[in-house]
Amino acid sequence: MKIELLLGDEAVALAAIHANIGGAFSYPGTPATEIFEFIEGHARRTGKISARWSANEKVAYEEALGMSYAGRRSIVSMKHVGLNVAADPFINSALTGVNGGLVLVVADDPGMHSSQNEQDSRYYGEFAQIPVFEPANQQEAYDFTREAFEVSERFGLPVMVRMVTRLSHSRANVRVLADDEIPEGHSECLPRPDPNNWTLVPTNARRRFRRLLTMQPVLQEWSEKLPQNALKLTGRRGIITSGIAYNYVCEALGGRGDSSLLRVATYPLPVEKIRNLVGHCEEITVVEEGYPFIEKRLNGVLGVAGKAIRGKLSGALPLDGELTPDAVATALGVPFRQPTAAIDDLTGRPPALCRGCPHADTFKAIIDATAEYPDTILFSDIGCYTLGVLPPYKAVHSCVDMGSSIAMAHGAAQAGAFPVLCTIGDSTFAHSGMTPLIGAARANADITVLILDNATVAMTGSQETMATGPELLELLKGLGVPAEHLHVIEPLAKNHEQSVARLSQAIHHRGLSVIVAQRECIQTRRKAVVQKPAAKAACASCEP
Amino acid sequence: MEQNLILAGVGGQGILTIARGISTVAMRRNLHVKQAEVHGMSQRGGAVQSHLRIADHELFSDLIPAGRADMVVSVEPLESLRYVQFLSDSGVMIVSTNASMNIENYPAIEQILDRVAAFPRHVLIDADRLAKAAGSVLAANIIALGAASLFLELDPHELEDAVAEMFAAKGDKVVQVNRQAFRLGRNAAAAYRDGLQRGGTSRAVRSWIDGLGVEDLSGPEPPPPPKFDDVDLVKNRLTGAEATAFERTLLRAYEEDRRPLYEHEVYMLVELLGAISPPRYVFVPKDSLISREALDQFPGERVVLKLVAQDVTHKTEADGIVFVPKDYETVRRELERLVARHAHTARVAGVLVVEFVERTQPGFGNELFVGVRATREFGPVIAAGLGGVDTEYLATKMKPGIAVAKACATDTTAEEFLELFKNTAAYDILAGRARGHRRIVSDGELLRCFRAFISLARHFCIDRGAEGPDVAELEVNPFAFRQQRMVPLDGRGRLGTAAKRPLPRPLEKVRRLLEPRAIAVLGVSSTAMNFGRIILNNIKDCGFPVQHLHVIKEHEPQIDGVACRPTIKDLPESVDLLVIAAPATAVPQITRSVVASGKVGAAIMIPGGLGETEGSEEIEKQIRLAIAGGREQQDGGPVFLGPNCMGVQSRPGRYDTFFTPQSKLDTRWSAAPRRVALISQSGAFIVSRLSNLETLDPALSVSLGNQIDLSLADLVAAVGEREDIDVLGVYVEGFTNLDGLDFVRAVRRIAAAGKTVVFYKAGRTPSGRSAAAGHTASVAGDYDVCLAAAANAGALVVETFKEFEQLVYLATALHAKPARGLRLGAISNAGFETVGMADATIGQDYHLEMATLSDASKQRLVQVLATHKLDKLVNARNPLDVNPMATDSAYEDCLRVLLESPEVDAVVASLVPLTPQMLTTPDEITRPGSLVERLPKLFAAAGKPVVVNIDSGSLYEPMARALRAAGVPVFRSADQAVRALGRYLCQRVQWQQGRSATTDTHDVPLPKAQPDVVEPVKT
Repeated sequence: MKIELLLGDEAVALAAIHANIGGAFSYPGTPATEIFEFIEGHARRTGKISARWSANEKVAYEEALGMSYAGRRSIVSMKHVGLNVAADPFINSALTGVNGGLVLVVADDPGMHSSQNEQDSRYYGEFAQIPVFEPANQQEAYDFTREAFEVSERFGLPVMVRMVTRLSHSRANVRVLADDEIPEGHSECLPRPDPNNWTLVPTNARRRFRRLLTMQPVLQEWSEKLPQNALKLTGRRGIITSGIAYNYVCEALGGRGDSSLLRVATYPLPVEKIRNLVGHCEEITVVEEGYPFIEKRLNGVLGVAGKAIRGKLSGALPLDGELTPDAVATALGVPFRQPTAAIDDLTGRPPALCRGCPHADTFKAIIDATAEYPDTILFSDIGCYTLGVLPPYKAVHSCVDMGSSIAMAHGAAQAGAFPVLCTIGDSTFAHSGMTPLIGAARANADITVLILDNATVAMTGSQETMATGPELLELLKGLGVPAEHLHVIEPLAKNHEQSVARLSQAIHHRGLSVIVAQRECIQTRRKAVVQKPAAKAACASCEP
Repeated sequence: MEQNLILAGVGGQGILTIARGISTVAMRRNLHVKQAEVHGMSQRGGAVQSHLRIADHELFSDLIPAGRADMVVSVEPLESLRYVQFLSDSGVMIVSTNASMNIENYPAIEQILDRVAAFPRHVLIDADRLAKAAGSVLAANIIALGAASLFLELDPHELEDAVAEMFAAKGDKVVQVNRQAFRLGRNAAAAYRDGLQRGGTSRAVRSWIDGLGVEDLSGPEPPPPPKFDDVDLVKNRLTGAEATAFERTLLRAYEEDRRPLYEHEVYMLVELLGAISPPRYVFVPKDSLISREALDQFPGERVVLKLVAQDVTHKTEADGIVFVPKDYETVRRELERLVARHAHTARVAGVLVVEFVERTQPGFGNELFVGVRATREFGPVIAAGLGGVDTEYLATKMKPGIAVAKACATDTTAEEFLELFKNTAAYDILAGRARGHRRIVSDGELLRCFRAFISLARHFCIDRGAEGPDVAELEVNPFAFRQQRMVPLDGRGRLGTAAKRPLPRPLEKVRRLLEPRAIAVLGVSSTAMNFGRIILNNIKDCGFPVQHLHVIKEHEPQIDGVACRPTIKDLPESVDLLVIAAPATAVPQITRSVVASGKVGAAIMIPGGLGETEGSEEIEKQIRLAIAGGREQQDGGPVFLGPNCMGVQSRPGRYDTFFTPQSKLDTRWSAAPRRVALISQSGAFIVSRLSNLETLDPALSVSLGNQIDLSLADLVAAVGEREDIDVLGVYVEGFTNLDGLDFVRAVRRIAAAGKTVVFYKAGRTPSGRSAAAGHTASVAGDYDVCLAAAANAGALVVETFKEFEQLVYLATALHAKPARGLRLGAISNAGFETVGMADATIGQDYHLEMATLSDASKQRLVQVLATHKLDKLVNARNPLDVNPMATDSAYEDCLRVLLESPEVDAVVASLVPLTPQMLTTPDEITRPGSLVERLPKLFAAAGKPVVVNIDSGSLYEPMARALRAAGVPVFRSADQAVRALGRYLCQRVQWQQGRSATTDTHDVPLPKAQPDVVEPVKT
């Protein structure tokens, strides 16, 4: 064994590598991005693992599933809202089952550090009726992920590992296998089962669903017996906690007190242990990160007679936002002493577009081109350009989900709104902007679509994009955008007048116009400037 | 062991690198580590923080519970305050003082630092400065790590090594920079801690550390702190934090591609300068709202709403100011209305909500404006005067210097500027000297304000190269006053590009240009009498040794007895001077070969059409390039006078390149040189003056032309230091970049040496004015500043060509006569003149008094009058009207009495020559006993300044001319004579007083003044 300082995300990734996966699949999304990136780095060095960004989470899941069917272990990682996109294959894969181990890592974002909601992925696990691991710390992120592959293959089911931002983006010492301790195996394809299992025509599907249902007691028993779902019965006050919330409980109690404690590490819930604890205690505090998943089940419709159940539903802990050690300690009645009060009159410091960002120039052009229309609607999408909602631009009127802007614009145009514009990044467009654009093109929707092509996935740290530059233009034509209403602008201060003119022209055209604002992201540009000389030298030495 | 750290900053400041350094070492020590990071959206310039925990036992929470942090380490001061609730009882705040100002309403930086300094355990360090000193501003995070290492239970050497490993991939240089940064940070933190221990205040300790260099802070131990007794250590200077805040405010506007600074930015800047307290203000960006809480914090019942838009400069006129009651709903409504009113015509950034200032004594004259701006010719200037909307009006209607005081900020102390300001009407009112006013501001407050603005001008209104944007203009207009404190009511600033100083010229070559050992002439025609040939002959005729005179010409052995050489390279000796009289188009090539030859010290470029005319810019550019090439040579290369000039007439140098034929202007080459030089941008100006002042016989005349290389200041400096020159007459139209400043400095040196500079500045048209310019540019335009600065430096600034001639002549003639006082003696044979002379004793820029004769003097006068039988006609008093009956000898004797009277410091001897009693016509003046014979002797013997006036027509010109030829300054109008003498005397006496003031302490005796009584002149 050796000890490494790893992010929660990196611990997951390293576990997958040590589990001899054949491939990793993902679309960038905070806080899950680093899982794939870590494996990608490893893959680049060793060439043993296939690791390429996918166009979106659904594609990523399906690629992973395909690899699993083919007999290799695969990992697919995404942020919580990414699973909404991948929900279709995910739910169905529980019926088809897997061949090589398939582990889905979902990183939730309680507190919405970088997300549009704080949905709790444990519901998806329950919905699909598959096993879920919920690690509390980086060590468990490593251990559980390795175990998840075993469990996946043992039960022939996809397995979810549920992470949260705080764990994903926090480092700690992790005991990991040394290189020579990594078990061999799983690098060959497993034999393929009957393909009828994977073909969910009704007859097969009914059979496979019954199989999933019959698996449930097996999973229940597995979870029940797992030592990580640890129960300690002492005092009459009980605590049920799961995932990262367990750390806050430990921090608050600091080894003191005689509360009985059940720590939940896997789902389906270890119900017997819960019953034991509830039977033993008069008051049970449920501490969990995310929605009150456990607490709700404990309460049911009527609650538990004679017992006080405290948690997010009771108001002991906040229903929204991220847990903090202080909130947990207060809920447990052992608040931390705080000698200095927080200062609340400090000027805020919101994020902003980078200095020199091409989007800034695009927004300036949009503002000037739409100045004469006070009723302009601008639908936007997920990416850096969502920051156009902040001063000084205040130009953005929506940000709902990946790829939504074009379809929403189309909808608004059908309601008779004018002018209707939408902005979408090149990567978001590839993720899920193409399908709505095909529809808008067929209908010749009276909208102006701005594709902000900065040639990268900027928001999540400059990952590779799917279609950019001339390729993107060809793609747009292929989707049915008429060439005469497809314009390119270069968002630069010196081109401002020209950009405004192009935009005005597009707005005046009562039909579909697409404007591609082409300029590389200032961040990747900066990095390229720094890195180029080295890259050149490498190329020169490659040459014979 | 357990240590919990909050690391804070702004996205991009590298706080995760700090965390990584600490974690690496902790891991090696087998400690448990928890390090929570922030990724994603918040990194885009937003607030970022990281929780870092290290312990020798298991750690649970990734987040530090409130009250359990041992340190808050912040690379940004405001950000440090966001996390104080985490700090434990014994926790330390380790904070960089450098503000990251990418947000509106960033508070005054020292107020933030005061809040940090209120924590019993804290360290404030100027991480940016130290990082720069270490080699890269990017290393500010490592400075913070070094500072934190002082409180970490980890080995600093291991930490430093971990830093080195982190940067190993970026090369050795980066590693060394970061190692150095670590050490500087650690030592600076230790020094700060020790300084506080020693009893220094945070400001004092930081100020001490600001002055420490890399060598002081990179040793194994921090430097020992001084005693912090000297409070002056921190007075009147920006702290490092303030300088950074200032810089970043400017940078922000610059990066927004905005030249005007917003009013609240100006407030912030002047607030940083100290001594000035802006009213409470909150900037509300467009489409935002002020909070009820923020509004409640405003004192008083009313607030002022001011439009903030870069294209609206005069807010009052533009309907951009609203006074509203301090009621939330009203303010909110008015805010929106104000923005809506202007949204379509201006680039509205938002609205400034400002406290309504109840002032002491509102009303006319009770507002002050103070501004600084960058001028091209004089560098940074400061101006102060009556403020408010009437500033410009008052400035145009009032005498210069009365409405506005102005000076070069680089060369003026706050105390000196206050003295200038005391001459203004504004001061009379503010200091309660005007009737009906009481003092509303103290001199100390004014001094602090001036000091701040001067310091600002010196640091920011200059060409700062890559260091940051230059401030073109920054002013507060007006300041109001409350309780003797200055409160800005409006402010404005603008970024710009300040003038770049050209490379300095090697001045030794200018000295040699004036007295060359060898001369070459290029452009001499062998067939025609062209300019080159006239110049060649003039030089020869002046007596320049022919063996050291050369002509550059191919295919000719000699011209007019002077040997020719085909090229410059072929010269048998190096020449101090090359005269280039070739056509303009040939000059670039000639310049290149001059520079390449290494044989020429200085060159005069005679031809015009080199830059000053349309289409010749390219030629000029090439010449400039060639000259700049020479500057890279070890000796600085050759210097160039001109082009478009007449060159030099040098009597000591025995040469003349002026190409005026002798028949048009008698150069009187045989006359002895007088101790005066004329330096002029225009050659024609010189020859016109020489034609008028036909007996001036200056030792040197220099025509500068376009100043492509040698500038006015170069020549004034070189000529002014010569021992054979006492008086300089200077005419200029425009200065090269910052040459005005150098000129003023040269004048100050020359004047301090007791010499006289008479100065005419052409180009009175208002410059620097535009719709966007502030008041400072309007009331302290380049011309105004030039005159004020030259006068402050001790030049006699004249406004007419006539006055120029008079003063140059007068100063030359009188230089040897000590000027001891301002008591004037006046004599005339006409009553109107004595009255007129008495009337003229007080002028705008001089102040003489009529001497009161002592009884002894009166008695002597009575005797003299009696001798000449004039006692019945003439009263023995000053001014003395000797009556038309006075003869030449009577006049002489009376004049002598005045000259010998100790109560008389200077004398104007005036006469109406139309009297039959005197020998004054051209026939008469040659006879013995005429005043033309008598006066020169009297003048020569006089130990005090004397001027003569002959008010009459051309018939008497020979008399005047004869006297001038004998060295007597002669005027043709009595009032002008008094005025010229008055101006001259005032300047001389001031110098004399300055000298005695400075020599008092040094015990250096003054040159013995002439005896009070002159030797009797024998008749």
